Amino acid sequence: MTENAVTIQNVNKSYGSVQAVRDLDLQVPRGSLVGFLGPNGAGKSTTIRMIMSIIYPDHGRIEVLNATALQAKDRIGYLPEERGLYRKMRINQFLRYVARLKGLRKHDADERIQLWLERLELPDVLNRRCEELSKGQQQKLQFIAAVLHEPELIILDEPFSGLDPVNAALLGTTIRELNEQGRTIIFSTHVLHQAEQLCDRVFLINKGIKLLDDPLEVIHERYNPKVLTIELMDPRQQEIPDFTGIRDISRDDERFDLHLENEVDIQSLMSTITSSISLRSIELRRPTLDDIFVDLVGGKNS
Amino acid sequence: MHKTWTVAWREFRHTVFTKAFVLGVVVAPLCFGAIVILASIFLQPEAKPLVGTIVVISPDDSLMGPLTKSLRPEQSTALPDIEGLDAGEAADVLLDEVSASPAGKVSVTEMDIKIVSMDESRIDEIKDGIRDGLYTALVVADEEALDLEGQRNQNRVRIYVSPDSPPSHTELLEDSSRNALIEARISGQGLDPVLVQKLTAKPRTTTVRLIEGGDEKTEIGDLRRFLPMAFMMLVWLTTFISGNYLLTSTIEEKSNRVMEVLLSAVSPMELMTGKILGYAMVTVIMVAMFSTVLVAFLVLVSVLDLITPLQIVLLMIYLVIAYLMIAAIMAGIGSAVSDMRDAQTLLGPVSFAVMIPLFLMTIIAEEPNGTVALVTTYIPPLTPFVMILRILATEPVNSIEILFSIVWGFASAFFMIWIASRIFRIGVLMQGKPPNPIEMLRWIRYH
Repeated sequence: MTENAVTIQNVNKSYGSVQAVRDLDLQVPRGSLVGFLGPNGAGKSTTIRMIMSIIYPDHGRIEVLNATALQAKDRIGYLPEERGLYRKMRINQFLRYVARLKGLRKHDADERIQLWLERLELPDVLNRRCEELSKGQQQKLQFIAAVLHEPELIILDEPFSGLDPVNAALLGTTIRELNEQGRTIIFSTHVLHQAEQLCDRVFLINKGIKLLDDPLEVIHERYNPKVLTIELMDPRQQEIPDFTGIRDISRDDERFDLHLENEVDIQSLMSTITSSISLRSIELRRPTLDDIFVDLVGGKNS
Repeated sequence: MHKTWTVAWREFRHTVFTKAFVLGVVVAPLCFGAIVILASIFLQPEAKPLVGTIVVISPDDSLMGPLTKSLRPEQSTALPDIEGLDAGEAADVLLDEVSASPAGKVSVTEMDIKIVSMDESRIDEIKDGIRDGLYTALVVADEEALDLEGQRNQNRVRIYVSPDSPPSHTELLEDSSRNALIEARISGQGLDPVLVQKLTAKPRTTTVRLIEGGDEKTEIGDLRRFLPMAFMMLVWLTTFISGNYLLTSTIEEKSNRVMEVLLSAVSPMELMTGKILGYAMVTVIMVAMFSTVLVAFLVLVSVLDLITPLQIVLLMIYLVIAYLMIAAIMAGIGSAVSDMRDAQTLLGPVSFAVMIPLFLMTIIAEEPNGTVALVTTYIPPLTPFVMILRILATEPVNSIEILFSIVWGFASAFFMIWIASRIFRIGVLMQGKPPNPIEMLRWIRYH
């Protein structure tokens, strides 16, 4: 049985009359890279803050790294959604301060600060003031502050927001590397394709209620739309011959979407089609997280 | 505890090692002291000497003689005779002299003046002469000047001076004319002015306070009254400045959104305690600076024995209590609001409450065991400030009452810190509109 880095059992949290999190159960296996998804106001940040023991649940139990959240604080790295820095503080002072609060000794802290600044392509900023950095640089600095003490569990709230594609890719690579070192990573994001590229497990909530909690392959399988998209060699051809196993056909410009019946053998159907008509391309459509997100959240909202 | 000290050290470092702090708390008092000393050394002799011709118009030239005597160059401005007095009495005499002397007193020995009498019919001519620089001043005494029955009438001596005459000259002329008029009145009654002056000179008195244990202590009036107020102001000022630093730092961390980063590493209680400890160290620096100036003054006037070692220990204890109370208030307010404007709204009533000892300090110092002193002693956060006034006042305060006030003070301070911590843990993550008192009460009760 896989040990869990985070276990949330029957957790509820309200702000006045607003129920932010409702009867939430969640297990995050150690070493996993979990995407924590949900629309604005879904309860993601509240859940993350409860995991961090910044706020406490009204009911329920949260266990982090086999301890209470408060006891495990030094083994967790956290990048909050609301980015914060001491504007007038120098970079080395800020990072050293956070490192000291996380229990690192001064010498170790200085070494790691230098390494991380180089790794995230922030050279020669050590003696600059935080306010002198660009927004993207500040975000990378906050990421360093979250991982400097080499935590077992890293929680990143919207780590990609405000980053240009180059820096987002750099951060994505770094997150993947940290996960490969065995660290458990939970990150919330609105950029679903990044979640799809990075995470091996997805957790989706809306209005404080869990909608989805599975490995990515399981989700893809479960939400497989069973659609073949084909493009004909001759664009003037208006019709597709009848094939067994297709329940519906829709057309989008030069492409046809063939909606398959549930029990169909996709492999043999694809062979039949390619041998019967002249095709430019044929593709078995995979469900994207965007599709699943819109389907689940839109469905619930409606 | 390690995290608490890390927070405390950062708060201390980022307050004390700043230009603003060094300028405001270290350099400014030093500069102020230096300016006062330099001004007293270099500016005093710069006062322009009174020179030229002073014309006197008085009935029967009665003012001529006394005014000449009053303004004559031989007149001395030497310090009063303090020989034979003990240190405390000497200080009192010197303080009296300093407070009585007009600002920028003109050195009379430097004067080169001529005093002449003229007829009243030439008054317009003399005024023109003053405007043209021919004369320095004109002193006119009315017919009724020597009339004892008409003493209530005003302006019986008028002094005319040139447009560029400095205030110190007019002050000197007014003073001398008044003295001359008194002397003329005495002579007019056939009495010897020197004898009358000797007879009416106020005798110096010494009050000896009989204190517990059979000891006697010479009373030093003005300084005795000044001391409790000075020390209370010292404690009030330093704790309030430190409290303000704490308030600003908490609001800054909230508005910079760095609070959540901190709370991912430390608990709200550790953060608040660290801040309170950090600014306690800042208070120590400020108290050291300000009290050095105060003690230097006491040493200068040789009255350091006015304050006993036990009183110093008690002062330190009340300083700690005062700081804890003010820090708790500031931490609570700082965590509840998101900007300084909202903080000012909440600080208003608190500031008023904490300023009560300032309004009452004369009454409490005068009557340290009176009803006002007794009642305010047990109202936090007034306790430490009132007790400082009481223990340094002349009338001794019962030892049991002092002990009880310390216990009460610490109990109140820790209760206030507990309340502040309840508000702090919720408030630091709140943004936007500040809470109303009912919401704050809910925060305190929330588990």
